[in-house]
Amino acid sequence: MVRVVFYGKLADLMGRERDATLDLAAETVAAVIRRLAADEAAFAAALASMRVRYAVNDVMAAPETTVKTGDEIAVLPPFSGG
Amino acid sequence: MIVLSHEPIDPAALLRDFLRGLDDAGAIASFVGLVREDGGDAVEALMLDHAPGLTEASIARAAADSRDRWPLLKLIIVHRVGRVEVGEAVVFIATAAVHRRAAFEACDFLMDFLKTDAPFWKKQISRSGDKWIEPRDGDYSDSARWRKREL
Repeated sequence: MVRVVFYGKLADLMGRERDATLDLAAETVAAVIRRLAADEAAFAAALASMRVRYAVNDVMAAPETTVKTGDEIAVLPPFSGG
Repeated sequence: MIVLSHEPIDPAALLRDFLRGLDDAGAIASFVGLVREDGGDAVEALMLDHAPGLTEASIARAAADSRDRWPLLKLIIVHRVGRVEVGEAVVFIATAAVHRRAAFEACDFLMDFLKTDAPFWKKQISRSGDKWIEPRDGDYSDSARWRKREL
């Protein structure tokens, strides 16, 4: 199980966080997100419409980064501060 | 100093505090960003989302980067999170240096960073409905200026 945390527009769609099961002991961020998107058309559409970045355990991470049980994936839409 | 504040901030008081004990500084630059009415859209407030931990670490890296690029004596970045009403300050930055160019440029650099590269997300709350705000093209080109200089 990994925790997936959503921010900004994506938190409105998905809630702040969800637990996601892993099919394998270690999977990529992209695989976990793809599985969530398969169940949620609105999330899939949002992902396709923006450049989303990821962090794993509070460190910016590429979609190819592998995660294991207990890790936390943050799903980050384009930043907009100030 | 880096502060994420859930409460309204007072830029004048922050600047007054910042100015204390700066005997070596010849130049202070400061910037205040306000939540404004957006043309005809009756904006009431912004909701600032952030990623606790990630956001602070990201701003700390930019602050360290600014100290590497310019000889700063002191800097402060205060950014609101949560609901920020129209007319309130959403961000305050001040930089101190011996000469003005370093203070100006570091302040400009940090503000450009906050607009496009710090994990914040802004939702505009208005009478006509809520909408998430994406950076303008100009915000991205402003941030890119600092990267070009590295070439």
